[in-house]
Amino acid sequence: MMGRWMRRIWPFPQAALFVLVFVSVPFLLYNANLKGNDETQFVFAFSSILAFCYGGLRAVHFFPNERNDYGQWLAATPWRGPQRLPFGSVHLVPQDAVVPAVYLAATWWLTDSLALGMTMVLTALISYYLGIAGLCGSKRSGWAGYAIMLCLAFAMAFALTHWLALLFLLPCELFARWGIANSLRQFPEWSGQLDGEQRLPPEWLKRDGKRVRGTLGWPHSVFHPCTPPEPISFREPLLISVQFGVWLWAFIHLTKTLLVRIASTDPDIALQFVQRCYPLIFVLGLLIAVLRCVFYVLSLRPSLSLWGRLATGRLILPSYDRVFLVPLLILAVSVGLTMLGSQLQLSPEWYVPVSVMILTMIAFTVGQSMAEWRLTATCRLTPRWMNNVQSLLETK
Amino acid sequence: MIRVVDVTQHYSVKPVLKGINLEFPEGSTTVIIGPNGMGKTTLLSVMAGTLSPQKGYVEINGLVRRSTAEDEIAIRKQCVYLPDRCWLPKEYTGREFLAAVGQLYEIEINRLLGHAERLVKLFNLTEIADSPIRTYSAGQQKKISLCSALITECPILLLDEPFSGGLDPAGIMALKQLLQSFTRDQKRTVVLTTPVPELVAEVADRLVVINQGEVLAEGAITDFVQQAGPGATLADALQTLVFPETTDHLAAYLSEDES
Repeated sequence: MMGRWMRRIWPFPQAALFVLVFVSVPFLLYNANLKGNDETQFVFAFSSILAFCYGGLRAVHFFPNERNDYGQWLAATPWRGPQRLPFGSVHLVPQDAVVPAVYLAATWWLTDSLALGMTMVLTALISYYLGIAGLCGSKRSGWAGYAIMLCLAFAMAFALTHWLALLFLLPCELFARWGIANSLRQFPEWSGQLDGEQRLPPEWLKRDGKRVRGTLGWPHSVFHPCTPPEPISFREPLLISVQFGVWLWAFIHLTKTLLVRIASTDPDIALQFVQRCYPLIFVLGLLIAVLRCVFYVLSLRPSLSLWGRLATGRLILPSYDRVFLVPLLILAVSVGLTMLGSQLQLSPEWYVPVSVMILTMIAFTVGQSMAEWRLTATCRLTPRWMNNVQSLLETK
Repeated sequence: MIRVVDVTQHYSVKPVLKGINLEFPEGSTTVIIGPNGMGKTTLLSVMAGTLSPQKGYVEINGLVRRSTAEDEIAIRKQCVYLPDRCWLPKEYTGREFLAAVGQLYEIEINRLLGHAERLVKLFNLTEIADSPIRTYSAGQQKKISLCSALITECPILLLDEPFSGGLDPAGIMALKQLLQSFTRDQKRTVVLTTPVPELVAEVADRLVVINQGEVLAEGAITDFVQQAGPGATLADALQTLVFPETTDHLAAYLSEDES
C-alpha cells in the first residue's frame, strides 16, 4: 500500500535504493567513528552531492520530454494538460515530504542538531527548482523560469539561515506550479508533433529542428537560407542582466556570511573579502567581452589574415573588425566602473552586481545583432571551422 | 543573372583573382575551366558568398551579396553552393540528410520526400539510402552531397568540381543529363568548375577560361570552336588556350625518354 502510494514520486525500485543510500550515508560514516572535522566535511560533501542528484532527478524524471519514449507515447494518447500525469507528478506532492522527514529525523538523532538535515533538504529543493526552472524556460514557460531563478538566488544568498532560505523557496513552489501547468497545457505543441509547420516524418521528429540544422555539415549547417531570429528585444537582455546581477549578489552575500561564521573571532576577514570584490567587475567584463567575440566570430574568419594585413598595410578591415568595437567598449566600461567603485568606496555588495548588469546589457543591446553581422560581414567561411562548429553543436 | 564586378582577392599577399568582371546569363550552364590553383574555386566561393572579396562585389538577380541581411537571405533562397568537399553528417541516413536539407529550403514535405526518392534512385543509392552516411564509399558520399544540392530546387546552382570525387560512370552520365535538362527545360542557371576539358562540350553552353587569377577568355562554346579554326574541336581550342605548354612538355619528356 505504502509502495503504491510512494510510486507517484518513485517510479522504479532503484529510486528507493538511491534514497536508502542517501539516508544511510551519515549513519554509516558516523558509526565508523569518523568524527574528526575532515570526516564531517566528507559526510557533508558526499551527502550534498546525493541530495543535489535526488532533487534534480525528481524534477526531470516525470516531465514528458519529446525526446524520450514517455513523451512520444504520451503525445499519442488522449492525455492533455493539465490532467494528472499517468506515471507520476512533476510538481511536489505530499509523498515528497517522506524522505526529508526521515532524513531530518535521522540526522537529528545522530548529531543532536537539525543543521545537516536542513542543509541537505535545502540542497535537494534548490536542485529540484533549478531543474524545474530549466524545464519551464525551454518549454514555453519562460517567465516562470525567470521568477524561479530569481527566488532561488535569494534562497542561495540566505542559505545559511535555513528558515529564511525556506521562506524564499515558497514563492519558487508557486512559480513552479504555474510554470509546469502552463508547459503541460501546451504539450505536445512544443514537442513539434502537432504544430502546423512543415515537419519531417515521425522517426525524424526525434531530432530537434535547430539541432539538426547545426549538424548538417558544410555548407548546409551554416550556409542556409533560413531567416535568422528577430533581434533580441530590450526586455530579454534586461531579464538576463537582472538574473546575473542578483545571482552575483547572492554569491557575494553567501560568501561573506560564510566567512563571518568561519572567522567569527576576526570579522575583518569578511570585510576584506567584500572590499576585494571590485576587480570582479573587470574579470567578469573581460569574460563577457570574450564570450561575445567568440559567439560572433565562431566559424567566420576575416577575409585577410593577420600576416596579410601586415603585408598589405590594410591593418583594419572595417566590415569585419566592427565586431570588436562592443567588446572593447565593455572592457573600457568595466575598467571605468572598477576604478569608480574603488575611488568612491561604494558598497561592493551591491555595486559589483549592478556593474555586471550594466556590462551584460551592453553586450546584448549595443551594436549589430549577431545574425545581421554574420550575414553582412566580409569574411571567409572555411570547412575546417565548419567542422569545429558542427562538433560543438553536436555535443551541446 | 549573376554579375561579378571587379573582384580582386588575394590570400595573404598572393593574388588569386585580379579584377574579374563576368556575367552569367539566366538559364545558362557555364563551366569555369583552368589549371589547378589558378582561382576557379576561389571565384566560385566568392560567387557563393563563402568568401568576401577584398575588392569588388557579386550581384545575383539584382541583389548584392552581403550588402544587407535581407538581401543575403533572399540570395541564399535562390542559390545553392556545393563545394568540392562537403562535411557530411555521418550519423544520419542519406534520406534523413536530404529531407533535412530540403526543409532548410522550405520545400513542401510531400514534394520533398518524393524528390528525395527520385534522386536516390537516379544515383543508385536506393539500397543504402536508409543507412548512416558513414557507411558510404567516397563515390556514394559524393553522390549524396550532389543530391543535397539538387533537392533544394534552387534556380541557381554553383557546383565546385561536381564530376570529381569518385563519381562512377553512371553517376557522371546522370549528372550530365540533369545539367543539360536544367538549362534546356527549366531555365536554371548553373555555374560549375572542372579541370577536365572533355566534359565541357557535353554539359555547358558557355565557357570561362581562367588562368593566373585573370579571365583569359569567355563566351559561348560555339565561339571557341569557331576561333580554333576549321576542323578544330573544342578540345583542341582548350588545349592551346588553357594548357598551351603541356604539348611541348610532353614532347620533351618523351624525346628524353627515347634518347
